[in-house]
Amino acid sequence: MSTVSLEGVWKRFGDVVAVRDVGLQLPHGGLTVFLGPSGCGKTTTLRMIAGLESVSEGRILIGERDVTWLDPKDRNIAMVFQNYALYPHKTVAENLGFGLKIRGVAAAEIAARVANASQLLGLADLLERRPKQLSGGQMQRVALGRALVRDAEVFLLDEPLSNLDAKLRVQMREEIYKLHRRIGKSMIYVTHDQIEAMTLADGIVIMRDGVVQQVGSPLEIFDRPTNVYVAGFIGTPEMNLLDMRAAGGNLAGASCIVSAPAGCAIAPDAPLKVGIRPDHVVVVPDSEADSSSGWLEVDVCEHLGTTTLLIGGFDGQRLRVLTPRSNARPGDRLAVRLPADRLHLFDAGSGERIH
Amino acid sequence: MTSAWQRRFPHWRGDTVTALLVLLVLFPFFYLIQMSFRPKEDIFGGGFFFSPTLEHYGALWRGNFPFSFVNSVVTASCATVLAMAIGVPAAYSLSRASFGGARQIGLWILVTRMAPPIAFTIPLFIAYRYAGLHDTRTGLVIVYLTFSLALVIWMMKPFFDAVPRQLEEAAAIDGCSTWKTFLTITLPLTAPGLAATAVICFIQSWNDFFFALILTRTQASTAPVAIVGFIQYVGWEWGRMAAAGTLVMMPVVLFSVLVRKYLVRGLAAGSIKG
Repeated sequence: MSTVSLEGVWKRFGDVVAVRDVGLQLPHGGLTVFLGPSGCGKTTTLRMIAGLESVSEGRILIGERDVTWLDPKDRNIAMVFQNYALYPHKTVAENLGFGLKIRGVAAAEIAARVANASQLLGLADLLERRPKQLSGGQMQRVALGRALVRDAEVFLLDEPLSNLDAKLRVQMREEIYKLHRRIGKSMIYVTHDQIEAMTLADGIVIMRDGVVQQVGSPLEIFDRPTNVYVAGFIGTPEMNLLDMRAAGGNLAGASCIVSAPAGCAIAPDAPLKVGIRPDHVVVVPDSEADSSSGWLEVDVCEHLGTTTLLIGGFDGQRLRVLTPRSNARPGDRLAVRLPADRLHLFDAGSGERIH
Repeated sequence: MTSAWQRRFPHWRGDTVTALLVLLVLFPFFYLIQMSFRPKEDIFGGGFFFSPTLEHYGALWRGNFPFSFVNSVVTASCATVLAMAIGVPAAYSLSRASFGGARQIGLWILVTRMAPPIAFTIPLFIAYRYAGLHDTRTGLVIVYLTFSLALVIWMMKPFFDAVPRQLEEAAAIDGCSTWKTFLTITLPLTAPGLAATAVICFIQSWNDFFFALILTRTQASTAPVAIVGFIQYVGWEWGRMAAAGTLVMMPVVLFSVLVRKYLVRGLAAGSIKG
C-alpha cells in the first residue's frame, strides 16, 4: 500500500536545520495536511518526499519502497506547485499529457486520459489554450489535472490555493475535497492556512521550526492541543491563554480564582498557562456573578452577525469571548465564567500540555 | 484644421525627423549599393540616373571572391554552431550553478571579452605557425570560437535565469531526466534568446577582419580580407569593392531583420503567476 513514511528525517542547509528528526506514518488514501507558519519546514519536507530536495539524514518510504535516493521521476508521485508551473509553450492538452508522453504511453491512451481528466475538472473547452490565456482558477485546475492524469501513487500539493482570491479559494478547496474522495489517492497538502487544514484534512501534521508539534485528526488537535503553540495556532478566533498559578485544586489569577479541571495533578503554586477557547467562555447575568466568575471589561466588540466577539481585560489579562449575538458595548462590564471542563492547562515554562 | 491626413499621421513632425535620421544613417549603405551597380566609367558619376549593370558582380564571380566568400560562410557558421553547442549548456549550468566559485567563473569568462584582440595576435600568430593552423579554416574557427563562447555564455545566461526553476521541477516529477528537462522544457522557452544569440554570434565572426587578415594568407582568407585585396598598385577597383561589400553586408542585414522580433519579444510570460 502506498503509505508514505518518514523515519528520522533531517534536512540541513549548511548550518541551518530546516527539518529536525521528523518521523511520520501517513495513512494510505488519506489527505494529510502539513500545517505551520512560513519557514516551519513543511514545504521542505514535502520537497524531500518529492525528491526535489536531498535528505540530510533518515529515510523516506513510499509503500515498502525506500525512495530516499531515487530521482523524482522514479517515485511515482505527482505534484501541484504553488505557482502552478505550467509549461508556457505547451497547450493545456499538452501540459496535461506531458508526463504520460515522457513515460512512453501510447497517444490514444494519453488522449483518453486527458479527456477524462479535463471532463472531471471542467477543462474540456480549454484544451487548445496556452497557460497565458487562462485565469488563475483555470491554471490551478490544469495543475491539478496534470497530477491527476498521471495516476501517481501519492499526490503532493504545495500551497495550491495561496495564489487565488478568497472566493475562488473556497471553491477550489471544495473541489479538492471532492476530488480526493473520488480518486481515493494519498494526498499530502502543505498550507499555512489552518482553515484549509481543518476543512480538508483527514490528518494534520503541525510543524514549527522544523519540528513536528502534533499529529492528529483536525478535531483531535482542536480538542486536545499538545502544547501552547498548537493551541494558539489552531482555531479562530484564537484560544485565550491566561497566566495563572495552581492554588490547592484551583487556579488563581491576579484577582480571581477559577476551579481547575477535575482529576488533574498539578504541583502546588506551579505557574501555568490556562487556555480556553473564546466560545467556551460563558457570560453570566450579573445577578449570578459569584466567586467562581470574573469580570470582563469590554474594549472591542466585533459584530460578526450570528456571533459577537468581545475583547477586553479580564483579571489584568486579555480575554476574547465569543458570544451569541449581543448588544454589549465598549466600556461594559460583564460577568464571565471559565468552565473547568473547558480549560486546557499547559506548563508555563515548556508550554507542554499538563491536562 | 484637422485634415484626414493629419488624423492618420498624428505624429507627423516626429515621423519626418525620424525618416530624415534613418535616411542619414542609411545613406552610406544605399550609396554602396548603387555604386555596385554603376558602370565602371561612371562610378563616381554625379548623375542620379544611370543604366545599372552587373559587370562588377560578374567580375567578382570570375575572380577569387567566391572562394573567400565560402571561407567566410564556413568559418562563421562552424564557429557559431560550435560556440552554441558548447556555450549554451555552459550558460545553463552557470545559471543553475550552486557550486562555489560559479560567479568567479562567470566573471572570468567575461574578462576574455574585455581584453583587446590585438594583445593576442603575436602569440596566436606564432602558435598557429607552429601548430600548422596558419591560413586554415580550422584555425580561424578556433579563434572565432574563443570570442564567441564568451558572448554566447553571457547572452544566454540571463535567458536561462528567467526560466523558473519550478518548471524544471515539474518536469522532473513528470518523469524527465535532467537532460530531457533541458531539451524539452528549458531550451524551447529560451528559443528567442537562442536565435538572437546565434545571429549575433554569426555576425561577429562574419564581420571579423582583424584575425582573418593576420592569420590567413590565401587558402583561408575571408570575404572582408578579399575586399581589401581590391586595393591594388594599378588602382582601386571601386566597383568590385562596392559589389563585394554589398554581398558581405547582405547576410548581416538579413539576419538582423530576422532576429529583430526575437530580440524584442519577452520571454516565457504567463508561465508563473505571481
